[in-house]
Amino acid sequence: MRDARPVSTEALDHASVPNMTTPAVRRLPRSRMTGLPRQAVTAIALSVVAITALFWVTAGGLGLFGQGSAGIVQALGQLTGLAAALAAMGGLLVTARPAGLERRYGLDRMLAAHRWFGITAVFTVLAHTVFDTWAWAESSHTNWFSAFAALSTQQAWMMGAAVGTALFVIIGSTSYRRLRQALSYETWYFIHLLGYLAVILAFGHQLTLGSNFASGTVARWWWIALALTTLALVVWSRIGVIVKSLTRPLSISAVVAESRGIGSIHVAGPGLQRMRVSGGQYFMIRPLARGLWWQAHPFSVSAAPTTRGIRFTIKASGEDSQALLRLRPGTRVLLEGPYGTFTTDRARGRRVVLVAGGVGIAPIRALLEDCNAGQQPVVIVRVSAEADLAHRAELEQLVESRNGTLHVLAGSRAFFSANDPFQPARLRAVIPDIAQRDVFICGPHAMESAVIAGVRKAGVTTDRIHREEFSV
Amino acid sequence: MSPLLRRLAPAAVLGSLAVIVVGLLDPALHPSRALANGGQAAVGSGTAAAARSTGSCATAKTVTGPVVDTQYGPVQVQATVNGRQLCAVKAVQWPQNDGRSSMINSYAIPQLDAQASQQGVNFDGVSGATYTTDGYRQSLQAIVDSL
Repeated sequence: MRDARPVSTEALDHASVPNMTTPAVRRLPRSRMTGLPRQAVTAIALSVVAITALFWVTAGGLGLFGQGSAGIVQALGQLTGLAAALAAMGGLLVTARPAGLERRYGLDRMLAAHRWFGITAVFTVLAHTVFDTWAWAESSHTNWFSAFAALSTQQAWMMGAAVGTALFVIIGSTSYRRLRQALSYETWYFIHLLGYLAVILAFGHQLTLGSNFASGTVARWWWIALALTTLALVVWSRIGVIVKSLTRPLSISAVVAESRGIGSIHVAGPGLQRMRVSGGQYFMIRPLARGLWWQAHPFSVSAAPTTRGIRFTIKASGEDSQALLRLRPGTRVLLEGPYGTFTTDRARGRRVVLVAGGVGIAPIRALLEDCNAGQQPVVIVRVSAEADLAHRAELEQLVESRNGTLHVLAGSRAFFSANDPFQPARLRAVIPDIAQRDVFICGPHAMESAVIAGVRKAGVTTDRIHREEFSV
Repeated sequence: MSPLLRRLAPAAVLGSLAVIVVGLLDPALHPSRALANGGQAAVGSGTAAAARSTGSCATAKTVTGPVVDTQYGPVQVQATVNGRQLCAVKAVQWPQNDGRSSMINSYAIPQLDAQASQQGVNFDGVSGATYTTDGYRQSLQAIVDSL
């Protein structure tokens, strides 16, 4: 790491382990990992769908199917419209990442859900446009295109709906893999943000023309309440981050070179006060520095946060992480998080194995710190060369104080692909009780797959394998 | 241009375009354009519109038209008349058996009432509510014929 340079040696102290002897420095509380119960989330989602469907039925929705082809088209138009609106609300909700959901499902599954909601919304909104315009054309004896023109130019909020739909299609298509690869991340991201605008533009016509939500009906209030709840959760989760950073600021206290290509940044300030973090979690870091403030990137906490600060270990792999490691102490940062469910709470049994590849050492190092001596952690770290191993001294100290062992596997990827160190026989030889252990893995995709294959054959059940994939 | 601006540009252009199009064209923001019969000039029926301004409606009586059955339900109008002069027209019955009809007619009826009161039998009508418009016109025509 050429550019990262130790700036303050004092900052190193809080990371050195174990540092609980100094009374002034204490570990911040761990985050509560409970989140909303799965059954509650399912129950809420199902009741929202059921209540909406019930309002549709009581407004005579089912009767439409008895009214010939025109009625069926109309019913399909209404149903696809309701589905599109619910999917859009769901998509907004998961992407707002409310803590209760994030703790339960983790960010990656919420992003998967966002994707699912998004695809559903785009296709159902298109179907809704086709069906409802068709129904309108039938009732006014005109063709589809005249009906479309009449609807969007003469009905309240229909131009908004048409433009919102167009935005949805643009957002959907720029997220299509091939097209997305052609765009820079930020170009795609800013276009994606237009989703908020699209949802707002399309909301008006749901109230003015939505036959299920005619004025004076309970259904109308239900629909407004649903929209307001979504809005409140989005605002609370998104704006809350900004408000927090203004009232309780954080800034970089030190940047340290740790090993070849890996550095760490230390963050401290009043913002630590109410922070609750578990080892293995990560934050989205947004440095408030010229040219960097408009993007946030995820980085794992690599040491248990203390009253003196929080440390992130970063690989200088891309432009942005390099820039992060060049920041000067004093630079303000916004931290959004903590995110992730890759914590020791996931362990089902007592003893654990922690496997790290490359910069995957960051969350593994923090997980190790959260382990107790009873967990007898066996730490396996795979690096290209010994010089690439960050935090070696800390790992050795932690392993010793926790009754564990440390195995450093140094070698090129080519070497390891020819000599798989995670063969079941080798694993059993090194860790005889592996079948009774929980395995935590963080590293490149290929390595994680190799480890999972190996440990499963060595007798570890799937529910005891926990992974955190970093995709950079 | 800075990298930020370059990457922000497509979204900014799209977003502003969306807001401008909706702001300029959405009927909700331009009530005068909303629900008008697209493109047709308002050709008022000579008699009713002209008579309105001259005659007195103070001594008007109320006449109820026949119930006209349309595909979606019955339409019936009531007019206040002074001699052969139409003072005001309003619907007393219209299709609202299904959600869509109530929805369409909830905005079409006030519109038709206003048009018919202003323009008489040859009122413009409301696009998207053709059946109701036709029924309305028939019921009103019957009143006018009876005068």
